[in-house]
Amino acid sequence: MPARQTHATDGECIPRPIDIIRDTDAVRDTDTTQNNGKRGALTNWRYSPEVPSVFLQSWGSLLVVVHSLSAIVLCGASVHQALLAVQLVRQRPVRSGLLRIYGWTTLLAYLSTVMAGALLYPRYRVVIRALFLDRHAPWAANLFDFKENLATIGLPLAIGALLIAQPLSTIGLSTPTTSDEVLNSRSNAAASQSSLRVVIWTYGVMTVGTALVCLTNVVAGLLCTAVRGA
Amino acid sequence: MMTDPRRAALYSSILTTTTSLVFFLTGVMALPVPLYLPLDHRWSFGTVAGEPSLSMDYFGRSLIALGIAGIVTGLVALAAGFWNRHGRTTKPEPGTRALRLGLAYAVTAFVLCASLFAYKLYGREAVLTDLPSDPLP
Repeated sequence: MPARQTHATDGECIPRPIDIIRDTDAVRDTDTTQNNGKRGALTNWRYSPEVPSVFLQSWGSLLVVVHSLSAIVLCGASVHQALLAVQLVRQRPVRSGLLRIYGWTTLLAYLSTVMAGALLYPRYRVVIRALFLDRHAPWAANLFDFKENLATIGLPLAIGALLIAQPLSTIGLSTPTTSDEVLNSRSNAAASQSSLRVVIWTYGVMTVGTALVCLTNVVAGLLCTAVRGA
Repeated sequence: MMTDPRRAALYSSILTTTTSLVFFLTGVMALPVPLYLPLDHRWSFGTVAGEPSLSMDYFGRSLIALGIAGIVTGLVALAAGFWNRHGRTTKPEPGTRALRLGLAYAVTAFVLCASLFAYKLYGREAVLTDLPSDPLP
């Protein structure tokens, strides 16, 4: 952007400071045009006054950070929870308090991630997908949509894992015995050994499913982001 | 929170199954759902095909699937509680067979739903949105 010139009263031409303005010219992508010195159409169009603003567009960066931090917590908690469930399925002792802690942490982090992602979604749909991904990397747009759909159907798994973890943590799984022995020691008529084994398997499926959904979504999200660093 | 792990497992399976099935239905049928139109800053109710402007049906499909699943699971829990309180069943807790069936249905519905969207989205051709003008000259 050339510096503007202004005329002083004595007729001498002195330079004014360069005005910082947003370049709204449509230019070709730097991948296809050599040495144009600009980042390309996405950068220009993201700030173009011709594109209508979308919901929370200016909060995008902050929401991306919240979304990412929540996803990091979610991955850690869900994988730990899944490992606990595998221990239970293998009839190894676990600390029952951890069942509740990881259950709550996973669900809260899941909700936080989904909420931040939902708030980001209008901005993504217009600024990222419509203006760039649909034109240059449609596979990434498809992968992103799959990730979103997977997150929705994975939410009941996280809720179910917490629902099961609460009562499971109260039946004495923390004692250093196998869960079969624990179950046998319960004289409660309603607590049959076989049905509780199925409960533990259900818990295992819910927790491992939650962890797989989270890991898949993190990989998909990173791949989509890596397309343009958007 | 529930105190019986068997009930918790059964309700979790019902919640997962119903969510996946309803979400599956929204993927194979053009059901009217709440749509968000980001360029117009407004909501509408209908199908994506019926909206001339850029529209997002993800919120609506998710809300409907999770909402219906929550209502169904809540109704089952209420019904079970009602029957238990009035002593109309001699076996108040779900048995092993019911739990296994519930788990099998949940896994099947989840895998079916995930597979449907993987199939639909794999190779989907982008429909370029009609924006003010083409960003690339």
